[in-house]
Amino acid sequence: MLAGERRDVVPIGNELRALAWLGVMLIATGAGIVVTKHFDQIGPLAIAAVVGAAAIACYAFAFWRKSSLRDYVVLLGALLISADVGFIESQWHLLGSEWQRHFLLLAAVHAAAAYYFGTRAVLSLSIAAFATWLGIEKRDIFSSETDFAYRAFICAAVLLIWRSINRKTDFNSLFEHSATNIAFWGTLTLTVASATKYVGLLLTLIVAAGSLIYGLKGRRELFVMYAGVYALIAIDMVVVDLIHEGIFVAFYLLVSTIAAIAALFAIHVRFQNERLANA
Amino acid sequence: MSAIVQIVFFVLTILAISAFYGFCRLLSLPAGWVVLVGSIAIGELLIRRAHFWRTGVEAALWIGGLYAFIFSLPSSGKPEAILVLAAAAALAGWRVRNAFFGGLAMAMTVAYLAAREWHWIALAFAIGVALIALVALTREWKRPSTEMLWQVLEIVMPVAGYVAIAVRLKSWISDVRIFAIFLALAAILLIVGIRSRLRVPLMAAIVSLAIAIVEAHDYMPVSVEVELIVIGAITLSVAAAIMRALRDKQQGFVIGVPKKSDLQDVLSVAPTLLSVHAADTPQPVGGGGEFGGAGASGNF
Repeated sequence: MLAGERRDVVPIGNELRALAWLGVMLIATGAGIVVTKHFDQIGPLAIAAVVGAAAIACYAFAFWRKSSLRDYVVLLGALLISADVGFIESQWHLLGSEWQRHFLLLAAVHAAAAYYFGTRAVLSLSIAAFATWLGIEKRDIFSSETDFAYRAFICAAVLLIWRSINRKTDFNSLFEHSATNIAFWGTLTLTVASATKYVGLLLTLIVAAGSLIYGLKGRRELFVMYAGVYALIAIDMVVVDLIHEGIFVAFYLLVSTIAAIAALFAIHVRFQNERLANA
Repeated sequence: MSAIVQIVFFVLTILAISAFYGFCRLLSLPAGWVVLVGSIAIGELLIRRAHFWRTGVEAALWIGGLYAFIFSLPSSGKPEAILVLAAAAALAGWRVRNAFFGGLAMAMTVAYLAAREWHWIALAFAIGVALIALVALTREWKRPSTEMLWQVLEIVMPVAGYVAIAVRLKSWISDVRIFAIFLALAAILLIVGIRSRLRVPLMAAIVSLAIAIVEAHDYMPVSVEVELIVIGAITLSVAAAIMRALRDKQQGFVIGVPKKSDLQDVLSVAPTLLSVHAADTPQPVGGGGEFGGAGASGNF
């Protein structure tokens, strides 16, 4: 009966969107191979012009036509622009020793496109480009062993500021998830390094507390999960480093993992009960 | 419970089982037996007393316990070991009604047939299971997990069958018979999917069609990159055409409202996390990386 009723109306929008995404990825991959394999035969100028024209055509299509697949055409345009800008920079070194700044340029271009067309996938590219730029930008403050952690914290902080001034509510969760995960990766990097492991643990616990409070207050279970899982990893790394006996390590890992599962499950049940009460 | 939360609990439980296994080994206890009995006993206790269901914990306890036991046995190196793993996945899948374990069991059975070098039988078996799943999907099932099992098999079996037949040759040469089989399967899945208004056979049809196209690589008159661009453009155009055709439809196949899921949020963060890790890569002196970036990058 249920199946019969369900088949009267069969939504396939998600499948069609997945198909469109696949099409975009195939075209972008094909274009990438053409650029790498054939630039000797076609010539770099022709390749840069053709890929650039294709990207502009995608944006123009998205601008003029209100297609249901506009988001995917914009995504294709963004991917082609990424390939084109990177190719131009690698061929002609327009930015010289500051070559890494082409990622910042891409972050700005993608952010503009994402806001104009309201496309989360392109915003994701913008954040990725920004993170890449910050990951490889050459600066004196980034010369220590803990380089990666500082970059991650700055990136997370910028994303949180961006989130606070963002006016497109659809984009908020992308900023929040990205900032949280990047911050945790930074704290874990400090925890891994023997010289900063305690600082790393402390920072992980502070970020975990923030994520936990945010998750509990905002009814966002995933942030509670982030807090639990990342805190568990950091605590395990430090404790395992202190215990050298294999048997105690195994026992400790068993107990700590069970404790984490129990704590997360208790919070999950609380969330579920609240959801049922509100239903 | 959302898929991502289930995955978190599943992974954490598997880690706990691994630690327990290691602990028993270090104590010189029969680790396989202890973990098997302990995991399944706790799993059953949680299911029966605490009503754990679809949490990821009970599924991990069942499959983790069984696999820990199997891996503790002395290895014979015979292909039949794959059947034992398949049976364990099937048993765990049956107990916790997990369609993915059922799919894993059937895929392992196909892998066993391929390991015995019965490649065509493996392909026939996989296609047979996919067709049985197709018939099953046209019927109504009381349990959603049973329906889910058929859906998983419908998607997984063509892929498993193709892998089983593709590994028979050392070099990758197109075979018109395999191409024809997958093209025919795609057609059948498409027809049944449209007639019965079923989504999963349509998805399986696309998978089978993709396999047929991959298998026909030697017959393509154009290079791989042109092929990718052309197929990508066709795929995008087909999706656009279908969306346009369904735009105002209220009955039958409709577009529907896009669902936002936690899993989607987590996956959309992945490219960013990969990008930020570029800091670990040594910086090049005097010049850029390869072309690309922000989703289409080369080396940087």
